[in-house]
Amino acid sequence: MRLLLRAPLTALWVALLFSASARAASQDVAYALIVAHNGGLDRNQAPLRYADDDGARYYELLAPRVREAVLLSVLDDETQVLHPGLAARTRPPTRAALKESLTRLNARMAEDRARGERPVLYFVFTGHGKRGAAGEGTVSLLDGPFTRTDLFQGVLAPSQASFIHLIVDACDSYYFVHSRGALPVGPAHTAVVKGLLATRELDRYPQVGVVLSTSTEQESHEWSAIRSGVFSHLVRSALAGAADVNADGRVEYSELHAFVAAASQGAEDVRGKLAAFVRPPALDRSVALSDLSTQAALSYLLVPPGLEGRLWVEDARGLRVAEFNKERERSVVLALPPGRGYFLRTHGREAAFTFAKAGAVVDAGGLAWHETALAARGAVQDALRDRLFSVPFGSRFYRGYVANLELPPVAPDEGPDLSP
Amino acid sequence: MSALSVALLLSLSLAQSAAECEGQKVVLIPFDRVALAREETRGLEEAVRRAVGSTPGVCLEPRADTVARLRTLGPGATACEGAACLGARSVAPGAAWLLRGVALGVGGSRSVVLTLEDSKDWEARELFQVPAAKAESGEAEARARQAFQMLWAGRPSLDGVASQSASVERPTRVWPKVLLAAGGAALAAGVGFGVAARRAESRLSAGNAGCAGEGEAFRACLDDRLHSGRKQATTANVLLGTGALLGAGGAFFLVWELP
Repeated sequence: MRLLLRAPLTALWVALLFSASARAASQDVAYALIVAHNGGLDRNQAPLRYADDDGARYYELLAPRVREAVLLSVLDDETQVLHPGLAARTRPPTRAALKESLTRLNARMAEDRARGERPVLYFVFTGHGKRGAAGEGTVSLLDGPFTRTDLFQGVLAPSQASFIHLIVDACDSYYFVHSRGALPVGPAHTAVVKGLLATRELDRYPQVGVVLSTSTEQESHEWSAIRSGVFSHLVRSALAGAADVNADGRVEYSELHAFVAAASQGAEDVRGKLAAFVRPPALDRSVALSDLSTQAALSYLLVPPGLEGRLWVEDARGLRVAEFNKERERSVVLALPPGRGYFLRTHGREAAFTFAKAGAVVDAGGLAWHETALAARGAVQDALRDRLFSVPFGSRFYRGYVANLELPPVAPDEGPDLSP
Repeated sequence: MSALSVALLLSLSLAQSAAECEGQKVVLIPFDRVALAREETRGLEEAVRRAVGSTPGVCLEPRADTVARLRTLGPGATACEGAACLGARSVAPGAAWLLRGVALGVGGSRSVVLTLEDSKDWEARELFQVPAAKAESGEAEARARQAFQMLWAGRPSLDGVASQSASVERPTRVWPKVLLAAGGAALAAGVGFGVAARRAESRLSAGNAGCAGEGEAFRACLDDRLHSGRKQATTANVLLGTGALLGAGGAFFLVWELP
C-alpha cells in the first residue's frame, strides 16, 4: 500500500529530472577569446591607439554573458586607468598564450558537450591586419604574424564549439578568413596548394559565422572621440541590443549586418568606405550572436517608443558603450553591465541613470533630461561624428537592406497582440 | 411606441450603462513586447488588466472593444501621443486615461513598464518586475496592482487642478487628530475640575462653605464638602496629565506623518 502511495511521487520526481535534463540539453554555454594588439606587422605600420581599448571593451561586453572570457592583450597606460584591475586578468597576445587558451577552452567545451550542453565560442581579434603577397591575410600578434592558415588549423579545426562567432576588426581582415587572388606559384604546384587551401575554406566549417571589417590596409577607422575602432564600436552597439530590429531579444547576423550598414551609410565617403562582411554559420543561418533573454550579470535600459534619433550611452568613465539612431515606433533594449553610472545622451541633452542591481531594468522614458553644455569633442569637420548613425535603423531600413542580401531575414515584429 | 416609453427606455439604458461603468474610463492598449513570447506578454497584460479593473473609481474598457477598434484603425494606430490617442477619432475615444505597457523578457525575469496618459499630455510611468517562474502566478497581478496604484494616485484631477495623493494619505492622518482632540478635551475638563476644586477650597477656608446647623450635622456637611473638593482636585490632576499625554502623542504622530 505504501509503495502504491509512493508511486505517483516517484513518477513526479522522474518527470522533473527528465524535464531538467531536457532543458540542460538545449542550453547554450558561451566562451570568449579576445585577442587585441596595437602593434603592427612591420615597421611601415604605425601602432594602433585603440586596439587594446577595443579588446578591453569586448571583454566587458562579453564577460557577463559567457562562462569564461579570456583577454590576450597588453593594455597601454590609459587603458589600464580606464579599466582598473583588468590588466591583472590579461595575458600577452602571443602564439603560445593563444594556443594554451584555446586548449583549455576546448577542454571545457568538450566537457560541456559531454553534459549535453551546446558550447559557443566568440573569437574576437582587433588589431593590425595585412594581405600578404600570396593573398593570404595575416593579423599581428606580439611575437609575429598569425596567418589564415594558423586560424583554420589552430582555431577552427580543433574547436569543440558547436558554433563559433568569429569577429575580426583589422585591415584586410577579409583575407584573414577568405582565400582570394592568383596563386604566385608555378603550374606544377597549383594542385598541391589548392588542396591545402581547400582545407582552409570557410565552407568546410559550417559552424563558423564571421563578422569582418572590410576596410583596406591604408584606412584607419579609429576615432578618438569614442576611444575605439569605429567598426568595433558598431558591432558592440549591435550586440548590446541596438540591432534587435524585431524586438525578439536576439541579435542575428542579418540584423547586425543591416545595423552596421545603417550606422555607416552616411559615412561612406569619409575616410573610405566603412563596411562589413557578415556571414552566419551555414549550419544555422538564424543563430543568434546575442540573446538578451538569457540570464546574465547584466542590467537593461529600455528606450521606449517615442524616443527617437541618434542616441548614445556613455558610462561614468566617459566611454561610449552603445550608440544607435532609433526609429520612433520601436523599442530598443540595451544590456549593460551594472555597477557604474551611465548617461543617455543625444545632441544637447543628457539623462543620468544607474542600475540598482544586476537584472534591473531602467525605463529611459522616465529619466530626467537636462540640457548639456558639453560641446562635442573634436573639430567641427569630424565627419565621423556628424555622419555616423545619421540614418535611423528600424524595420523599414532592415527590410530594404536584407532584401539585397543572401541572409535569411528575421521574423517581422508582429506588434501588439490584437487577438480577442 | 409613445414618447413616454421611449424616454423610459432611454433612461433605463443610460442607467444600465452607468451601472456597468462607474468611474473614470481607462483604455488599456495591448502591450508591446521585447524578448518575450506572445503568450507570456498576453499573460502579463491580463494580470495588469485584472489589477486595473479591480481599482475603485476605474472603468476599464473591455479588451474586445479595444482590439476591435485597433483592428479597424489598422497598424500604427497606437503610435499616437496621449492627446491624439484620446481624441474622438483615435484609439481611445471618450476615455479619460490611456494605459500602455511594454513587457520585457530580458535577463531571465519579466518586467513591465506601464505608462498612464491623459488628454493634456500628462504622462507618468511605473515599472514592476516578477521572476520568470512567478509570471503566471498571482504575484504578477499583485505587483501590477501596486504599480498601477502609484500611477492612479499620482494622476492629476480631470480638471487639471490637484493631485489625488492627498485623498490617499487622508485616512492615515485621522488618528493624530483624534488624539489631539481627546487631549484637548481632557485638558479642558481638567481645568474645569481644577477651578471647581479651587473654589471649594476657598469656601472652606473662608467660612462654613455653605453648611448650616451645628454639632454633628455641621461637621458631616463640612467633611462632605472637603471630600468632594479633594475628589475634584484628583480628577483635575488625572485629566490634566492624560490630556498632556494625549496632546503630546497626537502632536508627535502628526509631525511623524508629515510628508
